[in-house]
Amino acid sequence: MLAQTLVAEVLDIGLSGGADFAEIFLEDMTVNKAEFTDGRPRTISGRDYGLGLRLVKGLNTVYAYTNDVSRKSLVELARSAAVAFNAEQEFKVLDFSVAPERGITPIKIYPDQIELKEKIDLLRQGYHAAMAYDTEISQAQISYHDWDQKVLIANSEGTWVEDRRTRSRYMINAVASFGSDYQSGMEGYGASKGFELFDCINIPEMAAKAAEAAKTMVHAAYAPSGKMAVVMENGFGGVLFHEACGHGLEAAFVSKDSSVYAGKLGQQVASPLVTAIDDGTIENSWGSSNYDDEGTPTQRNLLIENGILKGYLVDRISGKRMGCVSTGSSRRESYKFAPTSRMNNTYIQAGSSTREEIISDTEYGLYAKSLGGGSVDVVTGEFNFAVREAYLIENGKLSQPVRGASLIGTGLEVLQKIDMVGQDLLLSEGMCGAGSGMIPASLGQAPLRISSLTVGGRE
Amino acid sequence: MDYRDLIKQIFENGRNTFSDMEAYLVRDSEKTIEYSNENLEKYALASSGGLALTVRQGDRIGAAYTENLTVEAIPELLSMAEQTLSVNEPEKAGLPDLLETDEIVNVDLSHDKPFQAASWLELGKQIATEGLSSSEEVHLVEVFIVQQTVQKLIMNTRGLNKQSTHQINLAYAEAILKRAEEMKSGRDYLFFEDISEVNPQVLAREAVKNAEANFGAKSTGSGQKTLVLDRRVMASWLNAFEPSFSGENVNFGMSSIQDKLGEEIASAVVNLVSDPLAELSSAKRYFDDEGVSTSYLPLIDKGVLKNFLYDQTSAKQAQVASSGNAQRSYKGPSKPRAFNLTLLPGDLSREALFEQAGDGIYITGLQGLHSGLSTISGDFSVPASGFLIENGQLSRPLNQIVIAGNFVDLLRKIEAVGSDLELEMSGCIAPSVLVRDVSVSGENEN
Repeated sequence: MLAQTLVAEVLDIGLSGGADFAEIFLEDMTVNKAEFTDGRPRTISGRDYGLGLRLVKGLNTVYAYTNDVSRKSLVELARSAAVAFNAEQEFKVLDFSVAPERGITPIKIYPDQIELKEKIDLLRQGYHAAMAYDTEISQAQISYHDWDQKVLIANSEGTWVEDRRTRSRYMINAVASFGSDYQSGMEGYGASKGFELFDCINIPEMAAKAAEAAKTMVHAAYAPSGKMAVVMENGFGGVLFHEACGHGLEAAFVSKDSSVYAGKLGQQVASPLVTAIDDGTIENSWGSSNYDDEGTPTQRNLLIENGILKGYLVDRISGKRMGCVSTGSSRRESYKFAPTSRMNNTYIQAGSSTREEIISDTEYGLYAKSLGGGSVDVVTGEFNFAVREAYLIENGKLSQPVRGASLIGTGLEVLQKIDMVGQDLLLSEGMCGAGSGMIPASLGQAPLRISSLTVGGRE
Repeated sequence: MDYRDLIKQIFENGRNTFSDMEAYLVRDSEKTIEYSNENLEKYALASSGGLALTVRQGDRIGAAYTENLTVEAIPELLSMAEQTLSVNEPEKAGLPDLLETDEIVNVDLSHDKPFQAASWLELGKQIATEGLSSSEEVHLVEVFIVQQTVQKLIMNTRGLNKQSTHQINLAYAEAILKRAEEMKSGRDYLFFEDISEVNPQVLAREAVKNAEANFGAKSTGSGQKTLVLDRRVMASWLNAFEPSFSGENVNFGMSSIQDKLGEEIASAVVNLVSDPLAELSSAKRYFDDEGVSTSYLPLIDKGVLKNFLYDQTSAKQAQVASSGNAQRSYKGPSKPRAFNLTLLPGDLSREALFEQAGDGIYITGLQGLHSGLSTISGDFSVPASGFLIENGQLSRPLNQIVIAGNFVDLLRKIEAVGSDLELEMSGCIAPSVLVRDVSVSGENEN
């Protein structure tokens, strides 16, 4: 993507101001986005293109980026960044050693091998399937998005990684109306795949599921309010661990002692039923990649084993602060962001209970079937996430459907209250927003129960 | 290269393929200083941008963008636009007319105060030092100072040629305090035009004070409660529901207030406007992202829903005129959005609101606004924190509660509006308000 001689020149200039580490992240990404609403498609295609330069001295970082990757512009960028350190030195960039291909996300059909028309036809199909589900379905919004990103990550220590990350996502949002009430239902699938994504999608089934959720919710009562047992479904139910714990294990916080999980390695932080993993190497998974955004190979990181805290998610800089090495967890949205420690594919391992056992063992509580996003204050450990579709559990049985509500708690307390973990592990895809931007991340779990959690309903 | 020339070249190259073209170009330059305690953790210099091209042929449109702002990118940009045009179907109501004008407009609202690295670095460090020295309990002070300058250029093949430059400067401090095993964070920020407006001591101490106030916070019982929503909370809540007023969402049947035009959707003390020239805002807008002149637009007037927001496409579909509310990034199509969404102030001080509340909760923090509400249903359920109000006075700190309800329902329950208007980080402007009978979920076992 760029000649090694030019990259070496730019990194050398970067080091000349006193930095002990220089890195470039070059990105060239082709994007197709299409949305089908109200009976017609709207499509936009584009090209994201730019370079981020990072200089590090000790724990100080200078970050600069530009869209102009001509030699003149890059030399100027490196000079203006280098002066920030206000020193002079004669470090030289080491010879580049080209990283091998890893094959974690093999692609069968790249997005540019398929005509836009074929993609639009799949949106149309989803739209008509959702609208035809029931007369109460008043609108549907179907979206398709593909990204084909080529990156070059090179640094002054000789790292040279060229990688291609291809992702596709298809989503259905159905709206049901009844009187003046409106509710929506959402289903989708995304992966580090090309157009073969659709080998794993049954569009009529997905549309029916989204529409059914919307229709069920438009007739549902409000969720109850207060503390109760909560059974969380698999897949996006993983938002629980992602918010309650995952962010708190990111070294960016841990290394500054500003996470509730800092200094707790080897301690019991969760119920013994909890074993949690972040794995950037799951084949074709939404949050996987061959190398992280600092050029470190991704890996499988054991975070919690039988409730004992075993590891953190570490990037280079935080690693320096903590005296440990990167875990291949450094990520960024684009060249516009300096990378930091983030999650890839995070999940709680399956346990031994069946879904039926978990529900029948619950006298009263909430069954959270479909989950939305969440957030956390890493400093206090207070987290929240949204339930989109829920049912009451009464006397060990699912009773009436109830509408969405936010669920809240604090990480250390809630992880201890996980008292049943099911067998049926499933991962789902989300977009995770934090310090280094919005990144694709998977989360997952088997169905599990929390003995007591605050449900923010209205009844 | 002058970007006007680049666009003219695109128009020239595309002339034989398309009947008309529109270009929207953004140049964004950003300078960021981040201190973590007294350590300059990050210093960022950025300049980037992108160009969106919308093309027309008959009643179809196509769209493409690129971040490569050189002539080499033109063939690919035109070809991507042509491909999207071939799959996009005609809009039901047809395409809006293109703006035709010979007038060249150039609005420059950047403050005449260029970024001075040395004084900004000094300020960042001072804020950190002030924070660290203000209490023994301070564990970490994180400081951000950001200057963002955005230049927009809108041109079409009918002569439209408008350019604007805006600049935003923000100083932000977050303090993390430790007391025994407990940690609390607090923050404060200030939009400024000149660096001399930022008092490092005031900003740092406010952040520390906000953190300190949270120690010992606990939940409370569930029930229907009286709330005073702090101005920043009110602004971020209104901002989250802002898409409810989008004409596009109304056209699509995806706004919870779509059929309520002319109806009372709020109490009589509620006046909500889109105010492109709002005095508190440095993002003053004379024309929108399609080049249409903006205007002051009442959305809710004395509780009555008066208007929705329109860009050209949604206006054409609704058979009304654009309200000049187009907003877009170069990566996507225009959407109707409010400019400086403002809840007009009343005349009560915040203390007077507490007094009128009697017993209730002063909400100073809301989380999960990106996930805990739906502008389609209008329902919300969001975690909150704040302080108990007892006999009109603030008492202990409070966390781990959720407030829930419906957009219109809460607007109707607003009993009084404060006078303490402020510009919030989202760009929305609001005073504090007093609301009765809101569902609060707390600690009691159900």
